[in-house]
Amino acid sequence: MTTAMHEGSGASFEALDGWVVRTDVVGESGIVAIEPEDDGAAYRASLVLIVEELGEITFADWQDLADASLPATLVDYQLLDAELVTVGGSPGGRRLAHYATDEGRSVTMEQWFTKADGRGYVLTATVDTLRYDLFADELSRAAGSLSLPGARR
Amino acid sequence: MSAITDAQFEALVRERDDVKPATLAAVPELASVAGLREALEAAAQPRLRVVISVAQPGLTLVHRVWVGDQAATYLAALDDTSRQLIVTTPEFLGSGLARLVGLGPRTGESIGAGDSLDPADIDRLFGEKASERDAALARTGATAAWMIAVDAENGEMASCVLDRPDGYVEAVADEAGVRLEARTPTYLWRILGSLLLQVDPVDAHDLSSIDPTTLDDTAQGI
Repeated sequence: MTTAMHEGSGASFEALDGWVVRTDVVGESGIVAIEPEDDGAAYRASLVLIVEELGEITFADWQDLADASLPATLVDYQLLDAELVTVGGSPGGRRLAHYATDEGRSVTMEQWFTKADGRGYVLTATVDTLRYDLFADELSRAAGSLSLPGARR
Repeated sequence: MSAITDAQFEALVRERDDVKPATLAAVPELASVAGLREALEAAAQPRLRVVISVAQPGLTLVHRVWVGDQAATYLAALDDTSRQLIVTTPEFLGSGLARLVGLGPRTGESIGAGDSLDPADIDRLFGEKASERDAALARTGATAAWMIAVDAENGEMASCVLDRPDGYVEAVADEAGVRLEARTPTYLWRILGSLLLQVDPVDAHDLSSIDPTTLDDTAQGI
């Protein structure tokens, strides 16, 4: 397992075996773990943890905004599943969706999100749809490893 | 996307190498369908075929899908006789099927999961008698039911799913009969999204690697 840690918040998760942790993709707002290029996949699966300051914005309002903005920003967006689950030890949620990338690829996106101590944490897994079934259990395990040191438990 | 009848579509497939002007003139919108040639070739020589019957109160829609080397071709039923021709790249098959069955979040736990189902009700759900279909839907508490049948080069599969307000349940046959198993939308997506693997896995990888730019504007799902 490879640990991906976001320096700014101290949040971390265990990426999949052999995946590469990148700190230069989303800047200070998060951390990325990506499937190695030498696996030969046409689309490289990834896990992206984004941390944002929410202040007084409630969890519900924050996610209502996400539900409204995702279909507007992602082509062919299709919400497939949504549920309330514990994320990083805090009440949170999970959504599963499909969309088309700018390159016309069919990808499946799975997100786990929670709000803790005024911060919003979103872990997004993206994989080409054909391989989602192959990755789903491992991605779920990665989400289960999400640790939020600053969160009240 | 264009409305078309089965007969018009079958004529197009027959004439795919040299479509007659009269055939095309019957459905003029087809001239602008991107990837039409690939779509007809897929229907003529499919690697994988899917038939989805969606039963709802008052209506059963039977959709047909063919997946070839370059395209997935959907003849989506609008009613008993009218179809909509849709073309995507093969890798969008799961997305297209999910739209046809209306896959999406469901709240609550599936009450009754683990219950048995009268096998005759499956026949009634997808049979020709509307009254029996509607009665079977009411009896099973389903707002809709779908039967998906997949015929690929290396095998076949079929599945019957009931869409209920409290969640999805799949009819699973065993020695004791037919029982209902709760299925999450994620579970169902894992199956639909990977159906292309029903063809040879190596070939499936090739199909998913098709450059989508070779089919203009076709990778937009349904």
